[in-house]
Order: sequence, then C-alpha cells, then structure tokens
Amino acid sequence: MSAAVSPIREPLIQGSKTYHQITEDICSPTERTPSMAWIIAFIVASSGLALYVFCLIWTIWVGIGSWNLNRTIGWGWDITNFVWWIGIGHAGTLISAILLLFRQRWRTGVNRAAEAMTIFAVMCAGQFPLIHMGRLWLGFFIFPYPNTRGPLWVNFNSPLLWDVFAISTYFTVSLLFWYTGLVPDLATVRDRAKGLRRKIYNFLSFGWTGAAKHWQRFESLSLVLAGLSTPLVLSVHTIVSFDFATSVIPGWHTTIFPPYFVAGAIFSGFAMVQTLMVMTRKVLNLEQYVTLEHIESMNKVILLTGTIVGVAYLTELFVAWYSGYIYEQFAFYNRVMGPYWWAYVGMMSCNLLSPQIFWFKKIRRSVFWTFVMSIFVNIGMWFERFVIIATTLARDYLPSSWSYYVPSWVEIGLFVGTLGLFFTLYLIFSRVAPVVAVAEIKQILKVAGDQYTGTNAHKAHHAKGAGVHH
Amino acid sequence: MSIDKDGNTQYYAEDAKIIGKTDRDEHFACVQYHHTMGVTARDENGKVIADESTGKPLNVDEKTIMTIGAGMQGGLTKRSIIYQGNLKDIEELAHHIEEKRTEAEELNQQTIYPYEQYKKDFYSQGHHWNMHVDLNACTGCGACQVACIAENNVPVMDKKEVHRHHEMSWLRIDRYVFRDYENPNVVYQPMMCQHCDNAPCENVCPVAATNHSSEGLNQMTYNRCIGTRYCANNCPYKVRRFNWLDYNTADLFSINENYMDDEHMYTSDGLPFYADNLTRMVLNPDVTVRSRGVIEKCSFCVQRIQEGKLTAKRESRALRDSDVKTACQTACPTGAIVFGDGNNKNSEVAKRLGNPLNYVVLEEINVRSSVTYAARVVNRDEAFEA
Repeated sequence: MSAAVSPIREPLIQGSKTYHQITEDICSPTERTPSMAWIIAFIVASSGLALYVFCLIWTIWVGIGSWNLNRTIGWGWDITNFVWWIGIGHAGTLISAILLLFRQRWRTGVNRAAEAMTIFAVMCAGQFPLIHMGRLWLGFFIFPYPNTRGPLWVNFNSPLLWDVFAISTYFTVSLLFWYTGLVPDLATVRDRAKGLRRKIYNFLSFGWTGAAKHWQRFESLSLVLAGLSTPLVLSVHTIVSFDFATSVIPGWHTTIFPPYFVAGAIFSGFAMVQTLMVMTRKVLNLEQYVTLEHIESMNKVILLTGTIVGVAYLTELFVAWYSGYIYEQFAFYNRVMGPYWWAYVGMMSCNLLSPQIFWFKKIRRSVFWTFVMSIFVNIGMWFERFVIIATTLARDYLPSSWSYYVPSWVEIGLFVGTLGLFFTLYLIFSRVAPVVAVAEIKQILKVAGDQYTGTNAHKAHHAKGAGVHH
Repeated sequence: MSIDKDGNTQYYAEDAKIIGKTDRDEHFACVQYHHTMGVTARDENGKVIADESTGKPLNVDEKTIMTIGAGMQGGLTKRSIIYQGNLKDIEELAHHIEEKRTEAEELNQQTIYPYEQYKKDFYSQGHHWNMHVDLNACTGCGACQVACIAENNVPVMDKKEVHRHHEMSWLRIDRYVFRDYENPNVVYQPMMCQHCDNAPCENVCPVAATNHSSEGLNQMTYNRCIGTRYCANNCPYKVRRFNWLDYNTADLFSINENYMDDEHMYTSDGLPFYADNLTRMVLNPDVTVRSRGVIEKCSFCVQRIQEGKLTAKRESRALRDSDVKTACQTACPTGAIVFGDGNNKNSEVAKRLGNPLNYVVLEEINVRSSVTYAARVVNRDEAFEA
C-alpha cells in the first residue's frame, strides 16, 4: 500500500505497536484458556443451538402445520428470518471486497470478524429456504441434475431457483475469501504452537512458509476474489428482492426493491458487525486495533445506508399514492394503518429515525450509543422484512381471504435457535482463529500506526520515511 | 344500531343479556374475516353519513378494517371483484363494466408479450376449458363446495384447523355484503382456481410442479411439489391450499395422522382415521390423495375432462358439451356454474361468454383468467332498500 497518508487520517493502530506485539495481542486469545465470560456466552449460545435442532426436528416430523402460517400467509417468520440473515451477511462482503478495491485501510481492523460473520449469517439464512419446504426430503429437486424423469428440469423462471444459485455462489466465494485471508494468520498461530496443536494449524495453513512467492500468490488471489465478490455484494440481495419484486402481489411487485434491499442489507450487516466488534474488542482487549476511528467509519456507513433505506420507504409511499392503483394504495395504507401498524412503526423508528443521531460526531464515537443503535437497527431490519412479507400477504387482492398471523412457539424457537447457531459459531471462531487479520494489520502498521502517523507520531520516523523518496 | 365514540359502527345487538356461563372458552372458527364491501351507515337521526370531502355516502367498513385512522375510502369498493346493480340501472351497470374492462385491457396491452398472439398460437386449437359463473343464479347454498370436496378427496378440516385458516376447500363461496347495513344486500361469489393463461403461480415454482396444459388448464403435479408455498403467495385469488399436516394418512411419517378418538390413538387396534378400510371408501379412486407438504387446488375436475375426452374418442366423435361436467356444475341447483370448451362455439359456456354483464375478477392484473363471472342484478322495490 502507498505510504502517502493524509494528515487528517487518524492512526488505525494505537499503542505504538511493534510487529511482535501485534502477533502477541491478536494470537494470544486463541492460546489462553477461555475466560468466564466466554464460557457463559458459549453455554447460552449452544443452548440456543440445541433449541434450534429441537424445533427443526419438530418441524420436519410434525409438518409445517406446527407453524401458524395459513392459506393467506404462506411465508411468515421463516422467510423474514431468511432475508434478515442474508442481509446481515452483506457487510462482511462489502468490507472485504469493495473496501479492499477502494484501498480503505480501516477495513483491516474488522474484515476478519466481518467475513466470519458473513459466513455464519449465510449459514443461518440458508436454513430457512430449506426448512420452510413442505417436503424437505425432496429438496434436491431444486438442483438441475440429470435425471430419468424426462429429463425434468427445474424452472429457470422462478426467483426461488435464482436464490439457490445466488446464495450457494455467495457462500462459496465468501468462504474462499475468508479462508484465503486466514492462511498466513493460521501459519502465525502454528509457529507459536507446539505438539498436536501445531500439526493441526500446519494442516489448516496449507504449509504456508511466508515465502515471497506465497505472498505474491496470496495477494493475487485476494484481488481476484475481491473482484468476484464485488458484484455479489450487489447481486445477492438483488436476487433475494426478486422473490418479491417479480410477483403480482401489491406491495411486493415493486421495481425499487433491488437497490432498496441492497442498501438495507449493508445497513443491517454493519449494525451486526458493530454489535459483534463492540463486544469482541472489549472481551479480547483489542481496543487498539478496532479503534473509535473504525467504529465511527462504520457508523457513517450505517447513517448513509439507513437514510437510503428511509428514502426508499418514503418513495414507496409516494409511488403507491401516485400510481392511482387501488390495490397498491391500499397495500401501503394498510401497512401503516392496518392491524400490523406496530411492525411499521418499529421499522420506521429503528431504521429511518434513530440512525439520524449519527449526524453527531460525539454519538458516532460513543461505544455505548453505537451498541444501542446496532441492536435497534437489527430489530428494525427484522421488522422491515416482516412488514414486507407477512403484512403484505395478510391483505392482498380479495378481502374474503384476508387473515392475520401470529407465530407458533416452533417458529419463534427456530429464530432464537439460529441466533444460537450464529453465536456458537462465532464464539468458536474467536477461540480458534485470530479475530483480526494479523498479516493485514502488519501491512498497514507503517502508514497507520500511531507512532508513524497522526498528532503523536514520532517526528524522526516521519523525517526518515520522507527522506527515502528524496 | 349505534356508532361508538371512535366512529365504528356497532354490529352486535346491544340489548343482549348473558343468562349463564359454561366456564369454558370456545374459539369461534370462520373462514372469512371480512364480509363487507361498501357498507353505508346512518346516524342516530337516520341520515346516511356522508364523506366530508366528497359528499358521497361514507363506506363505514373502510374504517373498521383499519386499526389507525378513518380508513381509505374506495379501498374496498374500487376493487374489480364484484359488480352488482339494480335492474332499472342495468344499462348503466353494463356500461360501467365495459368501461372498467376496456381500461383493464388497455393496461394489459402494455406488454412485450401480447396475450392475443400466444392465445392464437397456443390455445386456438383443440379444447380450451372455460367456466362461467352467473352471480345472479348463485344462492350461496354451498352445494358446489360439498360436491367438490367429495369428488376431489379434499380433506375436511376440524374446528381447530379452520380456526387457523387451514381449510382445504378448492372451491369456496365468498360473501360480500354491501349497501345499507340495516338492510344489506349480499353477493355470493363461488371462487375457485381461475386457471389463468398467464398464471402468476406457474412461473414462480422453482421445480415446475405447477404448469399449464395446452388446453388452458393450470395443473398441479403433486409428486413434484416440494412445498415452498410461493405459488400460494403469488395467487391473487388465494385459491391454493397447502397440506399443512398429514390430513389423509398419505404421509411418510405417521406422527400427525388423525385418529378416530384419543382413546385409540396408541393402542394396537387404533387405526388412523383414513387408514380404516371403510373410511377409505369415501375416497374417489380417480383422484390422487395428497400427502403432507404439497399444494393442491381446483383442477377443473381434470379426471372428468379426461374421461369425457376418452368417451368421445372411443365413440369416434367430437367431444360434446355433455361429456364433461365438473362436480360443482352438476351439484349447482340453479345452474349458476357452466363449464365447457370455450373453443367450441356451440358450447353453452361459449354462448354465455357473450353476456354484456360478464366480467373477469381482477382483470387489470393481466393473469388471463379462464373463469368469467356475470354481474349480480337485483330487482327490488326501492322502498325496501331503506
């Protein structure tokens, strides 16, 4: 990376770290016995996972009738959770791919955890399209495989089929990207380890030696994967939005959905990154690597995308009115004033109104407010999907078929259970891999370490560094 | 009837007295929450309440369906679901329908896939099955619904399932009450799969389990269905039914089969309701029994269509109108439902398609329904209206 740094940029690594200290700070959590906080968190999370498994078996054994969906509302919490989780994943991809292409250095502090979050969130998301099927045991029908039934192909017109391709591609590329970045760091952990642990990490790091050729290949692959991931940031949620946008249901049939869903996805994804990083940096003492500068940058993204989403909400209302089309007008009137008004209020207040407090720098840099807001945004984005899916279906064309929907305990258990799945995976991750990308932090040390840049930098380093170019 | 402080019309009898309690909560199960479509109310002085902005009679039901605010006038009445009018205004009614249909057609022409073209290419030869429902003749007796259930092995739901809106009927009678609430009029509308030629359910199924026949039938392939319910969501008429549980004892797992009673549930002589040989004799052997997790819906009695076609073939003649009659059609005591080959210009259904009071439900969404309704005309003395 270039050594030219604007003087207004704050240092991204604090505490005058040396290369060794960085290794020590970031790798040591994987080498210590877990703290009490981690153990309690893990027990809670894995209990959630157990609940998930129980509700999953219940759903398959008893049938979708164990949920409270009905003849009018065919998708409820299941697809709401699917869209919510897949949206959360998007921040990781944006951070790892788009911010890499734009050479945003602050991404290095959070990209590892954000990418891990992406993978775990996509794993949670992927559960729902499977378990919402009435006959999961025949779910393989959605794959276009050679068969003796004609052959009978899948329906390439169906947005659900596009989802299959979009999400499997997304998961694969995200996993590759994350693991590629992990390879040098796993090697670092290996070099510090002994015995069996050393053998395992040696295997996981593919025998990385740190040779110049390795680094060259690593950098090339990272760029290629960033190039592949960048369109995915935009395409995956666009395709998810097609599930609704290509339908005929008023309130779903909306051309604004693709950009609106992508903005919402990045919005909710960054909120989830904040939730995780605020906790992780505190528990693992990583405040000098995930600084207030990082948090502020992410809050700016939340403010921007939250406002985009808010504009989309207002545009939808305007277009419904302007269309002069009674079904569309009623659908939106019903969202705001109908029996599900509370979901609309939840969505509007959490997504559009509350992030506006991030116009104030003090709040953008407040860890407390960041955490509170990140939870708000997560709630608000869940409500958004609920409003779009269940509220819209509840009252569509024929008033004779209108209905109302309250989830059963199984549906609630499945949602809470995926939170358990997500946090179980994240907690394991925080124990076995460096949660901050060691190699990438070291790459930016000379340009973003506080001994080199910012107001407290040692003048000598600067003079020396500048002298090289003369 | 009175109006409460929020302006909601009170539909219940106010002078009712409670004479005893059972100490038991019973759920009230109904298949239709919402019955009204443009009900006007009168204030204490018997004057029709007018909309402040337009001066027209206020539809009070627009408010009752909303939690907040005064409701959206026209939100119910402007929908192209039912058309009705008085005999003396029949010209006006026909004109209104024509105007609405022309407008819908205008909208539907704005497409890169003009329907007329593919109608000519794909549906002009052979049969094209159509149905006509005359809302004037329909008395809402429900015989068609019962006939459909018997013919097509449609599971009958208990109160608990109906309460959760899990009723499985392929054909239902929608009720829409309108005009003065003290002396209301009602339209009964038999609603079944409309067998749309541009069906929104077909293109969304990821596994192509529902598709279109060359005769205009919207077909369900049960053993291909994986139960995503996307088709049901995307059906504007909400006629698709999902097998939430194992209603017919047709499932891989036996967990939620219906037993005759709780006592016999876990004993060796206990048989699931539908596994009993005698019970199974109610099933029509010509119709597949559906398992849990698949979608089902009106098939236009495809088994009868196939039988009729085979009869005609065996007798080496063209198909006659009388060869194919759907179950609902045969059950209807007033002949409101007519089914037949729309491409056969001599068929009864083709003749009925010329009625100027005909309309297609939700025509403006361009799904190209195969079912046509004739508007309801009432012939009643004005004096009774008030």
